[in-house]
Amino acid sequence: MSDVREKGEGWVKIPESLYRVIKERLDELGVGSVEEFVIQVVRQAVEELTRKKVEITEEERQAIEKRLRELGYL
Amino acid sequence: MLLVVGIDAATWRVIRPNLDVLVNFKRLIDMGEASSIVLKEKPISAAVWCGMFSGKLPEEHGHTSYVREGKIVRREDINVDFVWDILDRKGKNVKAINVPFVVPPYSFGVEFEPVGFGLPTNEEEWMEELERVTEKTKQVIAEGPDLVIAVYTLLDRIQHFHWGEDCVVEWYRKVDEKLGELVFGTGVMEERGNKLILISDHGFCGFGEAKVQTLPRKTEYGELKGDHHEEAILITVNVKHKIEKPQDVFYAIMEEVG
Repeated sequence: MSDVREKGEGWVKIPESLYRVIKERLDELGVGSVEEFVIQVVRQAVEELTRKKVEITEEERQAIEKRLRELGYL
Repeated sequence: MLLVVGIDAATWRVIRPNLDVLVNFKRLIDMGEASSIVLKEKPISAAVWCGMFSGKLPEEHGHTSYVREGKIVRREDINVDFVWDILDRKGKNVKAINVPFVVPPYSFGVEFEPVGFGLPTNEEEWMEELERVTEKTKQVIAEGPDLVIAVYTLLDRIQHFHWGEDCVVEWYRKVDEKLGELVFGTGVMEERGNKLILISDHGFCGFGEAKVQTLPRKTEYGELKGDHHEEAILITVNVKHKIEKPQDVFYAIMEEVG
């Protein structure tokens, strides 16, 4: 496990090679530290998950529109 | 924990004269602060709920209808950060259930399938929404998050179809019972420091009694019995931030939780 960076509880391990690549390009990535970059990327990924699109089928769309028409929204 | 309970279309016009049977509303009024929010914007649920949880005015968030250019508007079509997005980024544990700024209503941090696409239109669906929103909210409260938002939509439909009929009070009584389960049955308000915001997006009235008519009297359903009113209800417990308009709810949550 020499190719990972380790800290206490709550920290995750990433390969050292990846750590170095990020560290060398901090300015380019617009962040002040590797941690900041990793948190930013992971956070975006989690947001994508929590903001997952609610797909509406054609049948559901028609049912919703019928209900909206009954209330006068359409 | 801050618990925000939204009750779409709840109005003092029904609550105040029936406090003898709406015992949990009464208990909350007695223990907290009860007031009204008088909307300056048109009382349209999509816009008001959106403003309440984004802190933005309708002209800022631009979301004024469930349908835009013939298409049902979805969360991703609205270019704002909601309070749950912001608090989640700050590491807070946030759950939102059945928030009807879009249809089907939006949930955050929990899996919840809205009843009748968030537009329940008959007794069976009204009862199902009451049961399912309550059960999911109780389950979430037990996990002890920083913020829980839960919204019931049924009273809006009930009042559109039955305004002026005795059954309206009976449905308020059923909502009151569930409110009691959430607020008192879970023990959430017994814990020192916990806070509550109970709020509606608009009130309700007969046609012609509001400053502006929101929905047409005649629809595909037939003749609607009532329409939205600009006076919404508000009850707060242990919340310092003054709430005078829907957008203030966002800032109150940020102050209390953020």
